[in-house]
Amino acid sequence: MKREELESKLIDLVDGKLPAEEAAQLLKQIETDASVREHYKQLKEVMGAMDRVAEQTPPASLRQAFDQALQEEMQQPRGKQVWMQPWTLRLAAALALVALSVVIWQWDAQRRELAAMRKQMEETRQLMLAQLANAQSASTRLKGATVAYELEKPDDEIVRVLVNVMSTDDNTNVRLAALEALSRFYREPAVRSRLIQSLDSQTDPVVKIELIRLLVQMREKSVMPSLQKMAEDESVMKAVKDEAHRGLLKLS
Amino acid sequence: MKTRLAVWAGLVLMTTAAWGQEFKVARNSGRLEIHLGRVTLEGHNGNEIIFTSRSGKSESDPRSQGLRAINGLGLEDNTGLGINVTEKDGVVEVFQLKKMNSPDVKILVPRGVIVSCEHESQYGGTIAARNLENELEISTTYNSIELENITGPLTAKSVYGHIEATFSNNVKGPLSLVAVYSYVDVTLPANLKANLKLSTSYGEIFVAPEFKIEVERDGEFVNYSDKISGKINGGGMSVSMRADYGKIYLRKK
Repeated sequence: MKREELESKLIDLVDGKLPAEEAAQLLKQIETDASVREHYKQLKEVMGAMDRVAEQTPPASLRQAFDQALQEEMQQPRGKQVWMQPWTLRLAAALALVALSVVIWQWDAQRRELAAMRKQMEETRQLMLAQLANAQSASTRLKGATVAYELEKPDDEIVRVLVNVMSTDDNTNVRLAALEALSRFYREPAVRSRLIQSLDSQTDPVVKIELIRLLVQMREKSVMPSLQKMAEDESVMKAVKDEAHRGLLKLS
Repeated sequence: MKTRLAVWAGLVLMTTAAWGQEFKVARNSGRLEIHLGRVTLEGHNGNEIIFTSRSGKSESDPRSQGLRAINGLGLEDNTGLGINVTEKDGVVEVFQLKKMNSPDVKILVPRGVIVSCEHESQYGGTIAARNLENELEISTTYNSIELENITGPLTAKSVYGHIEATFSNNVKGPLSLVAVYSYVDVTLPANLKANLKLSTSYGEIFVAPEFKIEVERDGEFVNYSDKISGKINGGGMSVSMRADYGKIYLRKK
């Protein structure tokens, strides 16, 4: 007898489904063959255990609780359950997926846009610095200063260049435009201190007038000795002296 | 035939004489730096910078025949117009020889040459330009500046003189006009798109009603002087005018 056939017969025997004739024959074999006996014993054990599990019934209290819960659930108004139905769930999942992909796409677009903006800002910055350094054309330098005026916040190099332009450029209009750009950032401590420092060295009277005005507006009292000196200096242009005078009156 | 040629030559000579003397420098790019107390600039299509003097015969001195005029700067009159013209590193420089009496020089400037005029002395007349499409930089202390039918870009400054400028329809920015004691009077095309800055400390500002200025408030520093910052026609090129003690006039073309 083949092993599989024997096994199925043994199972049937345990279940008591084997015809009597075959059962007797099998029982004889169990008695004589130790390995078959062993197999039979194991099978009997396993199947007995399975029967016991199947026979276990949940405790009455559990059943009662379940029944009650079931009843309660069944009595819930139907409307509330509609959204739980599979098709709505599927729709919700689909919508969530779409929303998620839109969010991701937007995030990516934003990231790329930001990178492009940063690149453009850097290009603008480089162009502006190149314009400010153009020795050939005052109008180009003026353009650079005008771009600087539009900046949100200047970096150290831009401040340095603007201060340099304001103090040394050959053209008054360009110097004024650089000062105008700097005046927008007067709250930055670095800008403030450079503005104060540059007052005495400013050689252009028109720019000096504007610089005095700005420092007075900033309530910068530390420039008062400089203003005093200007107001008394006979070699200083009258308009500058007048502005220094007015500044002293306003600051004191 | 010969007579006809002679008549023609005579005509040319007469015209030249009427215009005074002429001096030419072949150049249609780079910078032209003019240090004259009085000059009239005009644009032209040629490739030469052409200097002519409009000063009359009173300038000519029979005693100076065969002599050259020189001055303390070591400059000599190399043009016959009372001015010295030198060319160095792409820059043509023009100086006057006499300190006080500026000759009345007219300069025809080809397009593409950046024109710069600088004069600090109180002696001199007006710096004038007309029909000029060049980039223009004018910086004076006492001279007034009068510009007609120019395009810009322009930077103009005069401490004691006034600035008048009428722009053509084809304005190129930026424009910056700064006067301290006198007025700034500017005429711009009504449809010009510009970011406008007008400022005066002790003067007044007058603007043509056609210019609707969208005033931008900076929030700070608005009280200490009259300062207007705003866009016209949606904004664009930078146009800045300033007259500390003088008035500002902005007119529509």
